Amino acid sequence: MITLEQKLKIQAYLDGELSQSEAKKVEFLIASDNEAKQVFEELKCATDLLRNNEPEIKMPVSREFFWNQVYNGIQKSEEESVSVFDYIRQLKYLLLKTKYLVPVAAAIIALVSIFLIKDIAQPFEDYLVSIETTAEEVGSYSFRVQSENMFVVWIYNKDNSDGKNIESDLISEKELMMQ
Amino acid sequence: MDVENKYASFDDEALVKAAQKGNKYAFEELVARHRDKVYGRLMVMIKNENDALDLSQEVWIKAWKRLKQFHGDSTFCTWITRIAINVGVDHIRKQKRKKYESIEDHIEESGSIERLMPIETVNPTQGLEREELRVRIDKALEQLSPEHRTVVVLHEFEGLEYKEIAKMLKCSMGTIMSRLFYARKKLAHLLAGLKKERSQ
Repeated sequence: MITLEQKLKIQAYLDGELSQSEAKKVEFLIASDNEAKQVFEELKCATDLLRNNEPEIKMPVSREFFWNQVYNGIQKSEEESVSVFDYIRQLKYLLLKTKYLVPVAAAIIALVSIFLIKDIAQPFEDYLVSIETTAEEVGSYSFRVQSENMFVVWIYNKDNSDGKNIESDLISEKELMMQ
Repeated sequence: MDVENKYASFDDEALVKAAQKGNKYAFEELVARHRDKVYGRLMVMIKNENDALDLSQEVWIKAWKRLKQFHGDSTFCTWITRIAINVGVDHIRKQKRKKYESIEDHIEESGSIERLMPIETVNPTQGLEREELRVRIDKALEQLSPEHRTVVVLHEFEGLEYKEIAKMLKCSMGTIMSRLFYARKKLAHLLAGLKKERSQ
């Protein structure tokens, strides 16, 4: 009994897919083995039948109907490709605009940053504010501490020596921060 | 002379040149001439009238878009048929992906049933009229799986070599050889069955 591999070789021989040396081996097999010969004849019969009798199938719709379908399909695909082209063109325009938008945006950011930095870098003394009190015997100091996010108002009795100490304390703290 | 009659006298080459310049009347004439061939190829591969019609339309739309890529290396008929085969192969691949792979698919692929079939040595179609024979072959082809049928179409009707079919279907030469072998064996068996039916 011949193997599947041999059967496939017989088929390849029939289809002219073998080298000369391989073809000779298969020819010998077909000539010497009855089963190999039958396989060859069966395959040849099927092949001849198919090659000479390809089914002729006609389209079941009229020329006009089919062309209308194709024409509409072509129109639709052309419209789609036009809209894709438009989209690309819009994108290009936007990118071109962005070319100018980027430097403008960068300039705005830079200006805002300068103002912010200037605001942050304000010296401590600018934050020291004097608040007037109506009472003669009462004095006050007020200041804002940016880092603590706090506004301090210190009220003291003028007659009390503590007030003078506070004033000198505040000035020395200011000097310390300036350094 | 109306437009339709004007282009009917042109040969394919002239029609292609005109269509490449955007002439849709010339393209319409090409569609009219080759639509049956395209549809027939797809019908043999897919065996579904509605799908074959939809895919035929797709083939012609693709052809219109790619017409500038056609340089006349082959005939227009060969070129359009190759587009049809590629569209058909893609369709079969998509259908297969959708379908749950069953045990029957495995049996079909490995040829387990065909192996058990006896060898048919007598021409089963002797004495049949050509048209009747074609109908019977078409019916026999219908019994094959889409994969086996596609290999038969590409090898027997399109005359492609094993390696060309393997490249087109993205599978090994061994797979192509075994598919073709089992397809032929099954066809021989089916046609022999028809002969027996006739003689009874």
